[in-house]
Amino acid sequence: MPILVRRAVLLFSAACLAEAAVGQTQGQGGTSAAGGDAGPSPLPPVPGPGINEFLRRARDASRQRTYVGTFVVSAATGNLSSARIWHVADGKVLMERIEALTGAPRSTFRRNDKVMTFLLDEKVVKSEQRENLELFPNLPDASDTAIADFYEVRPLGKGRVAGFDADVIQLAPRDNLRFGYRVWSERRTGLVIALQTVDGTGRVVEQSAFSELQFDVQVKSQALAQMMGNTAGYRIEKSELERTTADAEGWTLRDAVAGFRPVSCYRRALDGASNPERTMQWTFSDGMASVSLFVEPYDAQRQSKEVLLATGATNTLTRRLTDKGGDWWLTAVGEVPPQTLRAFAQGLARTR
Amino acid sequence: MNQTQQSVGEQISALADGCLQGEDFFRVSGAIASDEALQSTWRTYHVIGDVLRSGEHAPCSDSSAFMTRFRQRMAAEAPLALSQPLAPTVPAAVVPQRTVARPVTMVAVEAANEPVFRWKLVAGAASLAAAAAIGWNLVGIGAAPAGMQMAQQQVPQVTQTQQQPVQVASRLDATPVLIGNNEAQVMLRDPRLDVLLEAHRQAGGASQMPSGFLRNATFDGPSR
Repeated sequence: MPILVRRAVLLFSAACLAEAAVGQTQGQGGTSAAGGDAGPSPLPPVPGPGINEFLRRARDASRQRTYVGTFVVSAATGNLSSARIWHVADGKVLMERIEALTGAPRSTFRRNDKVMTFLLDEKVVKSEQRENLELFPNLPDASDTAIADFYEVRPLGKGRVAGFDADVIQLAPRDNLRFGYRVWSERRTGLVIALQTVDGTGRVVEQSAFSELQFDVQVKSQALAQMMGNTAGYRIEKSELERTTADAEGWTLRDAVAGFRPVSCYRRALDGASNPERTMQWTFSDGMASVSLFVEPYDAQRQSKEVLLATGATNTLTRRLTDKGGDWWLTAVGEVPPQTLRAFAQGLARTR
Repeated sequence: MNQTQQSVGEQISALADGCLQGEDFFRVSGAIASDEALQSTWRTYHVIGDVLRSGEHAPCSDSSAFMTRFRQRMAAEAPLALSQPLAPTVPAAVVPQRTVARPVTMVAVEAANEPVFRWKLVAGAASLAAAAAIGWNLVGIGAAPAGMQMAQQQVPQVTQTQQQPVQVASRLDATPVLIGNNEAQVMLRDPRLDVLLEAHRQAGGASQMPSGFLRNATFDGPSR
């Protein structure tokens, strides 16, 4: 059969399909209008205001809403994790209890920026004061336009998650240095109830969603506070952090990676008191994804091969950096494609 | 492969019609085996062909599910499908199992093209062509696209299928793992990396999304 005939048939069937798709979309719009949908209209297809509005609603929902639900995270490699969530917020104080239902038994409690993780098997509580728990706190000025510079927001239509109607939007990256996202935003509150992380080939590398969700249930924040404070029988481990700057540590990023700005830099005692040698953690963010560069002196006994590995959307790259004053070991971790980690690894340079 | 998309499409069309011979046949079927987009084109052309000829076609809306089922069927039926074209042309090549690789494969190619691809038996042709594609895919053709090499590798495959169908089935089951494999799939169990991942989650916090904190607290990764 000549190729021309095949092409003609292909074109014809594509046209038919397109028509059918349009018909379906119209049908959907019609049913929701008939159902008396009084919720806010879908986001406009304009990048700036669209992303602003979406982020503001998501932030407000997290700060002001109380809900209980089951949250599920699944990776492309097949790992499925889930947790039971209690979230209490009144606009001032945010309290959260996250009870892991898979993996090692653990409960995470959060009161604003203070986080305590109870590892039930080890009888250990990890206590931290986090700084970045507010939504996009690191890019205070014009943060939304910065995000809009690197992601294009498009409305994808309507969806339903855990029984709630949602507006679905897509954050498509404008370059290949970041993943794309599909976000299900609950129609009434704006809460993000499902999220897919999509790689450059359109493959979903990770997705998370509420499988079950209830708003405005009675959860006493006092009860959560009491559970959070009940550390009897547990050993408390405080994370050892020391604020520093990359410059003070003798490091610079020779070639900046587009869109990623430095957020914080710490020295951490990752191996406890037994090994006082500190690791530098330099963290970058583009407003959606973050990358941490861990740099420590190279130790042939401990560090093995240079690898690249993926757990869900999180990629990890290790590399030995040669330097005349002694070699270094870099571990780059981030919710970004491998090439972004490689760009960071190539740009990182010693200043002394 | 320095052809344009256009000519590849034309060659796939020719292959589907059974008009492709010799080196072109090997190159195009090798390309189809290693390229998902081309596989999709290949299936589309077959569906079009089926529709034009008979007005109806095999229902295979979900191509990946179809391919999975197809591979399972292939595990059971591969010996029959591959030995059929060999038998009528050169029976001598089949009977002694230890013939030299070269002559057998040349015969196999001719047989696969000549009688079956004439659209006398549309379904038979499609399954045989796909059988060839998958067979080459299995043998690991992506790395070595040279026509002769893949043909030589195919012969032990045929012999093995005839003797030990069970083993072939298990090899076929393993195929999707090989296809989907890339460097990012490597999983390591390293407690120190866990510590660094944890530290990253702390510093990255919820910067990814409002649900980022939930995600980080819920996700237990592969190594816990």
